[in-house]
Amino acid sequence: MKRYLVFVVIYLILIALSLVSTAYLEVIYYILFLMVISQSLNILMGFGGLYNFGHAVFIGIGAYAFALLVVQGINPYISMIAGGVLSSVVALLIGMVTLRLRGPYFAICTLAIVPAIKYLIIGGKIAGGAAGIVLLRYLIEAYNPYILSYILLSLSIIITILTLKISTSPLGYSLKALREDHDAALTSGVDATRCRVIAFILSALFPGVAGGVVAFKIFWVMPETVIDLTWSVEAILIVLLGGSGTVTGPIIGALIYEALKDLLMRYFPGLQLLIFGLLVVALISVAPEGIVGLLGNRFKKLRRILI
Amino acid sequence: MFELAFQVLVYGLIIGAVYGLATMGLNLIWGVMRVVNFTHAEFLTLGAYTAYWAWVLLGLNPIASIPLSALLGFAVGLLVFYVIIYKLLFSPDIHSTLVATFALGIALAELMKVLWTADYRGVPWALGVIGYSWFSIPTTYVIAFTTCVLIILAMYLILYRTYLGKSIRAVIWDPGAAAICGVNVKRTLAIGFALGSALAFIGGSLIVVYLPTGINPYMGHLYLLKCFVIAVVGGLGNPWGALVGGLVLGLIEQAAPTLLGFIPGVEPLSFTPFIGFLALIIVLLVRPEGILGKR
Amino acid sequence: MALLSVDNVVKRFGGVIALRGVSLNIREGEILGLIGPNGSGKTTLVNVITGVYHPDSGKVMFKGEDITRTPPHIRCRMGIARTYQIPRPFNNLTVLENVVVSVLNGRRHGKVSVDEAKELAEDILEVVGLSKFKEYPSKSLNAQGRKRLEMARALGAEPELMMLDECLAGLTPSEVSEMLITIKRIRDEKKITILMIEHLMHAVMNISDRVVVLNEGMKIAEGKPEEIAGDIKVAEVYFGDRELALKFVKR
Repeated sequence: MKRYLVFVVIYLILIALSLVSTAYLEVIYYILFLMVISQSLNILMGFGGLYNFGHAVFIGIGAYAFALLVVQGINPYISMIAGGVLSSVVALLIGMVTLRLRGPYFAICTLAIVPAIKYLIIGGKIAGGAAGIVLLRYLIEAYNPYILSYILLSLSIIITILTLKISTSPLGYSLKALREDHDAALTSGVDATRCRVIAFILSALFPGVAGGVVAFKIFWVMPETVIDLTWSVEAILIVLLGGSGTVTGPIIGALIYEALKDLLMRYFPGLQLLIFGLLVVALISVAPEGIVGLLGNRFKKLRRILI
Repeated sequence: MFELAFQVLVYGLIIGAVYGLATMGLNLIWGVMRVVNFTHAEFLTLGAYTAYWAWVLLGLNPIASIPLSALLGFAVGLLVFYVIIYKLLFSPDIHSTLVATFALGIALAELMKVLWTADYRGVPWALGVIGYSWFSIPTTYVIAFTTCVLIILAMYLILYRTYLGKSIRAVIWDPGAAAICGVNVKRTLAIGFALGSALAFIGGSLIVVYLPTGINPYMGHLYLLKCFVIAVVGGLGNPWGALVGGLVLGLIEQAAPTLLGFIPGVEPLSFTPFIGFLALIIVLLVRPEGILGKR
Repeated sequence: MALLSVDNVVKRFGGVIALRGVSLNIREGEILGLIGPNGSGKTTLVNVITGVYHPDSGKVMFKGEDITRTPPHIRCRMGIARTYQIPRPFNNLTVLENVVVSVLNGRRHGKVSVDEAKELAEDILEVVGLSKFKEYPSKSLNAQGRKRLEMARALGAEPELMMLDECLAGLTPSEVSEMLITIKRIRDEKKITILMIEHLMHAVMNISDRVVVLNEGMKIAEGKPEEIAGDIKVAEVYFGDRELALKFVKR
């Protein structure tokens, strides 16, 4: 039971802080969002070793699915789940086609998918094109920031449990083997495509639901706002920062990232991205295994609870 | 009809050649050390800014500022290689250099914003047009194209007629074998990277000719995706692949708005980038090594 | 009936023809030695058998089934395992976890739980002598350890046919003897058929039931070790000179 202590503590703290004031709630909301998108990416990136620069697309799809259903009068919470399902389906389609690419090719391809879909929607004038869909009048009455935050919290908890389960399951072993050495894994019997597709779909489900949450919060779904490469980059960064492939990594990474962002905004306004960029270069050179990895190497006792 | 086709063809080739040159650096670096240089975008931007400041402070037109760009690009490339890239080449995670160059790119873009603000700047260098009754093309475009061809020729000579060039090609083919033959692999890699970065700077300066008003810290991002499309379509390991890809994209960009205009309900200007990405994705899936690449 | 048969396989890489129509059979229960100079196509042949490469023409049959186009992971589950010439451990996984991967994905795929797999993996580590390293990260093993891990991982899949690619390279003479004993045990106790690519002549001749010799992508000799040792063609290929070969063979 000690191994779950970290998670229980962190979640309780987050809940407590969210109740302090609405200002705090805003921050916690955003932290939870970051946690959901990076924990879900971790399934693919941490275990599978694939850098999905297109992760943000799943959020966008979830948001659009949510919007299209809500304007038809469907319950927003059901729409969110539908968003998750649609994201997973799209992930299946994209995955079957792109997952045979290795390493950098996969990264470039997924990097291209985000603007590709954005331009497809704008240029093809799909779902309102560049103007998007306004949801204000459908949702304004049902709006409750606490519920939205707790939905994200639940998602995070679910992903945490899922990740813990995967890491000791046959799927987890197979993914890690593929990450370490693709060919040796194949000749050891690992079905590369199937494992990667499953990981891909799982990594898409949660951002899909989160997309609905985002749409609910901003009341307006537009290509520019919900299909944002920044989210992919932030997710990748947080996974690396916390510790790729660990369960606590993305959670701690999200907290540190948000804290860092806030600090930089206060003391070095206007220079944040510059400093961040340099920090990331330093991170990848000096501590590629992330904070959790570093701590785990230094303090062997901590390794048990940090997983 | 013929006039239109001719216009599309000529503009496509002329602009495409410069795209190709701008991408050659990317291909070269990938070929030599299997590094996806995401900082390429910012190198392009820095090249463009070099052309701008050369214009404003020294009165040089973009073509004349190319030697300056080349030197700066080479120096910056060497610096980046020795400080950051070299260590990461041996890291177990193949994505290390990708992440590092991506982050460095972001940092550089912000640095440029801090130094020179995000305002759009321009180099209004114009020399009239060359043309007939139904066809005209700005003279500057033609000059840029010619310069581009000359530089490509120079690259050819360097790669195939000098020891350095041969070392680079040897390292691309087989680093181990090259080392056994006496090639100083680390230095060759450094020069390869620096050459790639110099080409990016030059490319940036040339792009300014086509882009009289659009210089800003983030312009690199727009071109980065274009460059990736070109690099992959043409063949990542092969510097000439960049040219092929560049011409292809140049033609697509010119032809697409016109062709897409025929499809109802499609907004041509926004859809054109999508076609580019579609090409990228299709190539990655069907023939990842591109038209000229090696596996 | 042969356990595995390779039928007239041709494999080209661009302009280079690595295999020029190689045919051979591997009989159940035997240890077959595969020898030949560097570049003769031995590893390419193994890659074709495991499915990493598809031949340009020819067939690969396993237990009567045509597996020429079967994906590598399915072949593993059917009972074909291999080790790599330069060991390729799953670096950031422990020694035990490396073997667990192949237990979970080999012949018992879908039929064994993770805990059961761990137990089976521990037994295998016992056989190859890596038990005390089981919690070590596999990247920390030395050369001999890695070779043993390669073998353990191949055993994890519970193969009927195991292909060892130069598993003795880089080992000291005593380590070689230990490895040979282990290989014999594997064949005798676990009833696994073995194909051994080797350069260490005395080891191969010592342990093999039959030997196949490749040169420049073609099979030039096949037979019992003593027959091969006396074969002039084989000697010529290794010495590069017919006179010298004749002298050697006469002795």
